[in-house]
Formats: sequence, structure tokens, C-alpha cells
Amino acid sequence: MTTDTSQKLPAHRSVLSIRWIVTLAAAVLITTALLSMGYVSEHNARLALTREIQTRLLLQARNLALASSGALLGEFPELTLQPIVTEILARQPELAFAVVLDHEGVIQGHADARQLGQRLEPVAGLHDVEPAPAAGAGEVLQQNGELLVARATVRYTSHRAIGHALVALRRSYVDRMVAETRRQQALVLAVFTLLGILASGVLMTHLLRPLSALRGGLARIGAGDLDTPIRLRDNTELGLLAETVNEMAGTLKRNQVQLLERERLAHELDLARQLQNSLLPKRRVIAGEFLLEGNHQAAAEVGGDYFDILERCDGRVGIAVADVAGKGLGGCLVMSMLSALLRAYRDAFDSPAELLAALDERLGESLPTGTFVTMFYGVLDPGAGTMTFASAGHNPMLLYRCATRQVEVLGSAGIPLAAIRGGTIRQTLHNEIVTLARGDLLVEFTDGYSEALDSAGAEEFGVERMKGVVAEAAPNGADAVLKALRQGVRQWRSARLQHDDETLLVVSRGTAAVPAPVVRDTIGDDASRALDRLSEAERRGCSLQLEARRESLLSIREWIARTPPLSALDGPEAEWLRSALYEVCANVVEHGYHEDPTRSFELWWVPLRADVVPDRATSATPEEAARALRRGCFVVRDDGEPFRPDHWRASDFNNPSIRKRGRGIGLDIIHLVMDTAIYHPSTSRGNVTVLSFGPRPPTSGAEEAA
Amino acid sequence: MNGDLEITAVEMGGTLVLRLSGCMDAKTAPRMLAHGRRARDGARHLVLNMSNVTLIASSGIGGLLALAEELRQAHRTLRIVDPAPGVDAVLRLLNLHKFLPIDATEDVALEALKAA
Repeated sequence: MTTDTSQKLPAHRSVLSIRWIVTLAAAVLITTALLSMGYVSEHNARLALTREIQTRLLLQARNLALASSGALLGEFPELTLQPIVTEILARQPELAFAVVLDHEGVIQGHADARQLGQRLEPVAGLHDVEPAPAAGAGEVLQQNGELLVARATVRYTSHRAIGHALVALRRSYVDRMVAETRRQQALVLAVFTLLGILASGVLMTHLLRPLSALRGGLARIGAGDLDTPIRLRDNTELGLLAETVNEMAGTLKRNQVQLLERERLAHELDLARQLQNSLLPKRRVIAGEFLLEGNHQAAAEVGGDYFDILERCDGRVGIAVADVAGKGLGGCLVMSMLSALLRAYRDAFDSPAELLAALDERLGESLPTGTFVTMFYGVLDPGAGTMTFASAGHNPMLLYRCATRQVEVLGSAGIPLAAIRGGTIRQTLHNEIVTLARGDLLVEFTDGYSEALDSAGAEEFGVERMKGVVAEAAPNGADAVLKALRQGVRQWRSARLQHDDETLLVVSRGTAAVPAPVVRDTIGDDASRALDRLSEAERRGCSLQLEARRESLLSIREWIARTPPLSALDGPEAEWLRSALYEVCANVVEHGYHEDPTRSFELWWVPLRADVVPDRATSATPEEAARALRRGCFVVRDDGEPFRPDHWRASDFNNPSIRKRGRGIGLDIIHLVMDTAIYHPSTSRGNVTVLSFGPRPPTSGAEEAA
Repeated sequence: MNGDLEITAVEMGGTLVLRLSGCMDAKTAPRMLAHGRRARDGARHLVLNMSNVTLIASSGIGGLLALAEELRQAHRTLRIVDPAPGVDAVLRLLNLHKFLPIDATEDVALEALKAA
């Protein structure tokens, strides 16, 4: 048995020691018992001693009477009796007196010779002792407060009484004898009491010693240490208690491990959700006449659905919908990898099939065998109204044709990314091109929609039902399609839980009923993308430092003239570019810096990476320069006061009041010249504006608005 | 190139001709507007020779539109002559030729005003 005394009691807590309580109780009980026994014992001892003394006193009186019989018949009895009496008193000093009386009551035998011949003075207050001891004939035992007197009749042979013999004993002698007995008993009582206390203390100390170990163990458990058991070899209930506590600690530890595991899984799930949410576009995107809008409904267990809308330098827009085989954080990490690769490749590949093949190569290097990704990727050209797409084992795309009000299913034969390593996917991927007329609408989705089971778990929602929903809702635009499909699949599932992520991406081209978007500055709404673009500009862009005054903006023309391939531009597009860049920078000077000439900002031209070929750039033809211009982008960074850019609507110059007002034309120029114009105020690098060149035909301005 | 705008005013047959040279931006457009309003106040047509305008900002375009509208309300006309390529491109981008008629020369513009 081991004890642990390292655990100290709290200083503020006073504790009654069981050891001392039990020891004190034992002492009280022992003392009480011994005192009770002593009382009874003393009482009995006193009775026995008194009876013994009484019997002995009667015997002495009888012996004296027998010894006096002959003497009293003689001439001078006193001569015989006086020595006998004297000897008796000498032998027994506790006797008060011994007297022999003749038949007339005259003293014939006495230790004091002067009393001889005298009559014995009667002793006052004598009365018979009750109960009388066994006395012979003529024998009497009497007592008063001081004396115990035995009297025996002296008889002659004829049994005639010839006198009396009296022997008196002082009662104080009895008391002394009793007191002596009591002292001995008290001594024994004290010894036994002391021994009892010591024995109780030792026993309780021994028995309660495991309590320290128990308390130490419980304190460890309370402090969180569930690994160190209470080591206690004890056969009492305390040993059993220690075993129970150890079992409890084991159960607590198992529960704690389970709880931690649940918390870890919940945390992982939360991280996965956050990661997934961070990767998905937050708002709809508008590109020219096209509206791109997605929706993602996460299942309880985070799935691996992913979709993205990627701004490209050439003004086209990449569209991705993917489903990673794997759920939870693992699936999200693959999704994160996929997102990073897509961002890296979006401008590097014009061909969706080539991009998917590159993704397959990269993912194949990283993903464990058995992990694969189905993915759709398309490139929307808002100017041409076409989408080029390829699919790596992903669901088919639904295409609603406004003219026929029919929904077509556009499939593709590609195998999933990373499913078969070694570039096999290249043999299966093919680019398809679809032209979208006004009012047409594309829907890409994940299997969370098409394979959603009904409440009985027997039938999938299916592509055919999706076609029906799309055909009905498409005339009302992308929002209506998203809403109808979400509602449709929810009703289909009914009470059945959603078991997989549900992701939709809709691309619609405006119609008269659903007008083309007028706000064109939302492409790439993620400020982080703008910062990526800024970093890229700083790495490899051509920059112009501008002071925050209007005169400084005149240098934009010279900068364009010396910056290949922009320098090769000619015709109206060159003038439009100068004018649009001037207006963008004029906004910064006026609204951001309030024309403070002491401050400055930067303008970059960032060519598409593949276009950065100096020899080609310097000798570029106007056509090559125009193509390069559409594939690159411009970035403006300033530290001025962030301003709220106006939401642009094309000015209706047919309205005389608009013409007379003469304001807001700068935004007309910017948005007519630039395919995208995004202002990101207050980023970590200041205000960042990203622009991509893509002028709209001049006839689409005032006349269209009219 | 600096940010100034030089304005030369000529009376030609009851028409005010302003020959502009330089930049038309927020700083210089009000001055152009002030000169142009002299035509409105004198009940004359206005011709703007913009062959030497090196830059026209949106505020310059706004000034032209405002001036043309004021003249129209006064039953007078503003015509633009030989705009520099930068000016011409922006006017065409905005489809403003309907409100700001363009002529190749001052003579053509004056003839058009007489014929109106």
C-alpha cells in the first residue's frame, strides 16, 4: 500500500480528522465502560468486604467468648482475660476495642486495666446490621456511624450464659479498604483507557491511511490526469472504492477521447465548410450581356462540390463546376488544390480540354490513387456569344434554346481527372463550342441534383425532370431557373435528408424580357484576385507613375506610345484606350486624392504571360497589338481616399436634360471601352482597379439605350 | 503637350467660330463654355474648330453637349469642324454625332449653317 502525501488540502478549508474523531470516541466509550464496570465492581467489592469483615468480627467475638469461658469461672478472670484482649488489639490495630463482660455486665477483660471492674458504657446509636451475617446463638452484630460491634455470649458447659465478649471495629477501616480497592481499579481503568486510545489511534491511522492515496488520485483526476491510476492494495472498502475510482477514470478517459474526437471532427467539418465557402464565388457575375450565377447547398457532411467563375485577361470568362470524390476536409483540400491550379491556368490555356488535361497531370501527381475529380470547364466569350467547353467525366450540360423553348443535353466523353494516370485523359477530352443567342441559358450541375433520391429512396430526380424545370423557368431568367431547380429538388427529397452537396451554375444571355445587365463592374468581385493581379503587374507589368494632378495624366498618351505592344495600336481603338485610361486615372486624381499634387499612384499594363515576347511585341502589327491588348489587362493602384464608384448606366443622350447636364460621361467612356472595370477600394494594398480592354461597338451606346 | 487650351474667336458671317488648340478637360472646358455662350447671347451660331485639340476629357464632352443644348434651346446651332483623331474617336464611341454635327472644314460648316 502506498500513500501520496503530496496533495495538500486547501489552506482555507478546515478538516475534522476521522482518526481523531474515532480515537476520541473510542476513549470516551472505553472510559464510560470502565467507569461503569468499576462502579459495579466497587459496589460488589464493598459488599463482599463488609460481609467478610462482619463475619470475621463475629468470629473474633466468638473466639474471645470461648477463650473467656473458663476465665470467668475463675477467681481472678481479669488476670487471664486482660492479656488475651491486649494481644488481640495488638495483633489487629484496626479494632476499636475488645471487651469481656461478666454476667453482670462488669468489665473483666480490657486492654486498659483501669477499666476492669467498671461497667461498660453502652455505645450510643447501635443497631442491628441488616442483613445479618450468619451468626450463632447469642451472637449479635450491631453498628453505628463509627463502629461495627460484634457480641458473643460467653457460656458455660451447661450453656448457661456467664458473660459477653465484645469486639468493635472502626468502620473507617472498611472505608480505607474500599478506597484502596478503588484506587487499584482507577489505576487499571487509566491504564486500559490509555491503551484503548493508543490502540484506536493506531488502528484508525492504519485503516484510514488509504484515504490520502484516494484523495490524491481524485485530485489528479480533477486536474485532468486520467492516465495515472490509484495504486492501493487494501482489502477494506477503501480498496474497493479505489478500484471503482480507477474504473471511473478509465470511463472518463474513454468518454473524453470520444468527445475530443467528436470536437475534432466538428472542427474539421467547420474548417471544411469555411474552406469550401472561401473558394466559391460570393456573387453573381456579369460579363457583357451574360449573367453568370451559381448556387451551392452544402450537405450536412461537407461534400466535394466546387464551382468557380474566373475572370481572364482577355475578357473571356472561365466557368468551372467540379465534384471531388471524397468528403470532409480531405475533399475540401483537393478542392482547394483544384482552385489554386485553376487560377494559375486560367489565362495559360485557351482550350478547356488542354486546361483539363493540365489539371489531370498535376492532380495525378498529388492525389492518392482512387481519388478523382469530375469537372466541367468552359470559356465564355461574351463578345462572340460562344462558349467553348470540355468535360472530364462530369454531368452533361443543359442548354435552353429561347427560340425553340427546348432544352438540349450536351454531353461529353472525357474521363474524370486523375482517374487514370499517365495522360490517358487527353485521348478522351474534346472541346465543344456552343453559340448562345439572346435568351438562351446554360445549366451545369453536380450529381447532388441529378441523383437526389425521393423520400422513399427509390428514384432519382434525374436529368429529364431537370430539363422540365429548366424549360419552364428559363424564360424568366437565371434567378428563376436557380430558384426553380432548388425548390424542385427540395420537394423531390421531401423529408429525406440532403446527403450530397448540390451545386448549380447558370449562364444566361439577356433577352428583352430579362434585359442584359447594365452593371458591368462586378467581374472578379474577389479583392484577393485583384491583389493577385496587382502582384502580377508588379512582377512583369509595364508601369507609369502618375502625380495626382490633371496635367500629369497627359503622360498616359506618351506612355502608351512607348509601351509595346500598345505602341503599335492605331485607329479609334488606340484613342479609346487613351481616353478610357485618362478617365479612370482622372477619377483617382479627383475623388481619391482631391488633386493633391504631392501624391502619386501607379498604372500598369499587364500582358498575358504568353504574349510577353519582346521581339514580337516591339515589331507587332496593329492587329497583333489589338489582340494582345484584349488578352492583357490594366491595373491602377492608389492610396487615396476610397470613393464609391457610381453604378453606371449608359447615358441616354436623347434626353435633353442629360445632354445639358453634361456629367457622368467619363463612366460611359470607361465602360464602353473596357470589357471589365472593377474598383476594389481599401484592400491591403490600397485601392486597386482592374481593367480589361474590350470596346463595345459604337452603335451599342446611345442608340441602344434609346 | 501641356494642359492649356488656346481659344481664338473669329466672326464669320454672323457665326462665331472658335478655334481651339490644346486640351479640353475639367480645367479648360469652363473657359470654352464661356466663349461659346457668347454666341448664344449674341444670337449667333457656333462653329468649333477642333483640329488642334490634343485631348478631350469627359468634362470637355460634357461641356460640348451642354453648350449645344443651350444653343438649341436658343434656336441656334453648334457644329464641330475637323476634330482631331482623339476627339473624333471619342465622339463616335459615344454616338454623339447626332447632337454634335461634324464637318470637314469651317467653310463646309458655315455652308451647312446657311442652308439650315
